[in-house]
Amino acid sequence: MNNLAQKPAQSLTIQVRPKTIKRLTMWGVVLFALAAIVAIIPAVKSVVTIVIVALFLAFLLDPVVNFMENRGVDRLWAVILVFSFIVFLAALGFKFLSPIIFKEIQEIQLGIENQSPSEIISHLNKKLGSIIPVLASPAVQSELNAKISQALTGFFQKSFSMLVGLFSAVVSMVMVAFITFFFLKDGRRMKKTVISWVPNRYFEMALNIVHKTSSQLGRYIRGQLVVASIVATLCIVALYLLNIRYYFFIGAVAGLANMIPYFGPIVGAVPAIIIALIDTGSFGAVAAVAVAFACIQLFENVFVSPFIVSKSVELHPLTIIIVILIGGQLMGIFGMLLAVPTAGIVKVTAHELYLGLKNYRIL
Amino acid sequence: MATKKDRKNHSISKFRVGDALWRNIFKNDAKQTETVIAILKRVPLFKGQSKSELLEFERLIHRRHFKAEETIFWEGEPGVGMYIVEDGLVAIYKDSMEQGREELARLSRGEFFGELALLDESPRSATAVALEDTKILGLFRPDLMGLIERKPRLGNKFLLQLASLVGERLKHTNEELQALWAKFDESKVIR
Repeated sequence: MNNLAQKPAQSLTIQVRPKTIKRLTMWGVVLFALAAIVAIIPAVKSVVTIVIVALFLAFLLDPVVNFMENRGVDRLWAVILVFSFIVFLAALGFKFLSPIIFKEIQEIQLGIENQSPSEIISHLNKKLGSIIPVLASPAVQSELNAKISQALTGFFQKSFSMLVGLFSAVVSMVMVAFITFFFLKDGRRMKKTVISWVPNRYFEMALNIVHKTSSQLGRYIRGQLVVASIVATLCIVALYLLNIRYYFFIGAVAGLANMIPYFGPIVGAVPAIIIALIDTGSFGAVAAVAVAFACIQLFENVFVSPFIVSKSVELHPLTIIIVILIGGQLMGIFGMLLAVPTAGIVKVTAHELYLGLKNYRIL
Repeated sequence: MATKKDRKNHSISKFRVGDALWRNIFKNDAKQTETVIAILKRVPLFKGQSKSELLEFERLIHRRHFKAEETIFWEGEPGVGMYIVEDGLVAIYKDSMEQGREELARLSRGEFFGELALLDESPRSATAVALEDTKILGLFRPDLMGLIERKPRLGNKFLLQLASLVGERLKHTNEELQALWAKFDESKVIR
C-alpha cells in the first residue's frame, strides 16, 4: 500500500527536471517582459518617439563625429562642435526664413483684424447666399450663424491648443537634442553595457548582431535622409521655377514625405497641386506641377536611391504597405515616417539573429 | 601623504570627470580601469602603447566571468575577437575523431588567445574552456574596426604588433616543420 502511494511521486520528479523549470521560467519572464512593453508603450508613446528621433539623429551624425575624431578632435569636443554647427545652421535658416514666415502670419492676422467676427460671419453669409439662393432664407441664416460661430470658437480653441502644442514641440526638440548629445558621446559605452548583460553562451553572437544591425541601419537611415534632402532640393527648385507659393515649405515637406514609400510622393505632390489650382485655376499649371513631381520621382528612383539607400533592409511591397498603415494608426504621419525604418530594424535583427543562432549552433 | 598608487587612481578619476553622469548610470569605476590597464601592459600586442592609448583600448574591452568548466568558445564557431586571461586558468582543446579531445595549451593571467579572429570571421580552430572560475577581458573585431576608423594611428600601431606576432608564429611553425621534415628524411635514410 505504502509502495503504491510512493510510485506516482517518483515519476513526477523524473518529469519535471530543473533545466525544464529554468527554461519555463526564462520564457515566462520573456513573455511577461514583452507583455509589459506592449502595455507600457501607449503610455510612454511620446518618450519613445523622442528616443527614436534622437537615435535616428545619432545614426546620422555619428560618421561626422567619427570623422572629426579621426582628425584628432576629442569626441566630446567633436559632438559639441557638431551641435554648435547645427544650431548655427538653424539660426541662419531662421534668419532667412523668418521674414517669409512672419509676412505670411501678418497677412493672415491683418485679414482677421480688419473685420470683427460678426462682420466675417455676415460677409460669409452674404457670399454663400449669393452662390446658393436657398441659404439666403432667415431660418437657414440663423442656423448658419450658429454653425459659423461654433466653428470660429472651435478655431480659437484650436489656436490655443496649437500654442500649447508648439510649446511641447519646443520642449520635445530640446529633449531630442539632449538625448542625441548623449547617444553620440556615450553611445559606445551604452552599447557595451547592454551587451554585458547577455549570458556568456550568447555573448559573441549578441555582439556580432548588435554591430551588424547598427551598421546596416546606420547606412540605411543616412541614405534615406540624403535621398530626402536631394528630393526636397529638387522640389524646391522646381516649384520656385513654376512660381508656386510656399515653394520652400511644400518642397521640404515633399522631401520628408518621400521617406514614406508609395504614399509619400503622392502626399508630397498634393499640396503643390492644390496651391497651383487655387492660384491659377488653370489645368496647365496643375499639369506642370504633376509632371515636375513625376520627373523628380523618376530621377530619384533611377539615379539616386539605387546608389545611396542600402539594399539590405529591402522589404516586400505588401509588408511596406501594412507597416505604413500600422505606423499611421499608432502615431499618425510620424508613425508612417518611422514605420519602414522600424520594420527594417526588425528584419535586419531577425535575419542576423537567425544566422547567428545557426552559426553558433544554438538552433 | 598620497602614495604613488593613489596618485595613479586620482589621474584616472580626473580623466573621467566629464563622464560623471554615465559613471553613475553605467558604473565603471577607476579601480577596474587600473586593473584592465595593468593586464594590457603585460600583453605583447599592446607593447609600446602609452597610458592614454591603453585607456582607449580599455574602453573597448569587455569583461566576462566564466565559471569552472564553462566553455568560452567552441571550435568551428565564427570568431569575433581575442581574449586575455585577467584571473584564472583557461585550457585550449582540439577535438578530433581519431584522438578525441587533445589539450593544446593552458593559459593563465596575462596570456591571450583567439587573436586571429581580430583579422577575419573564420571559424575558431580550437575550443577554449575555463578550468576554474576565470575573469577574462575580450577585445572584439567590430570595436577594433571602429577604433581604426576613428583613430587610425592607434589602430595601425596595434595591427602592426598583431602582424609581427603572427609573423613570428609563422616563422616558428616553419622551423618546427623543417625540423620535422629533417627527422622524417633521417628516418628514411636509416631504414
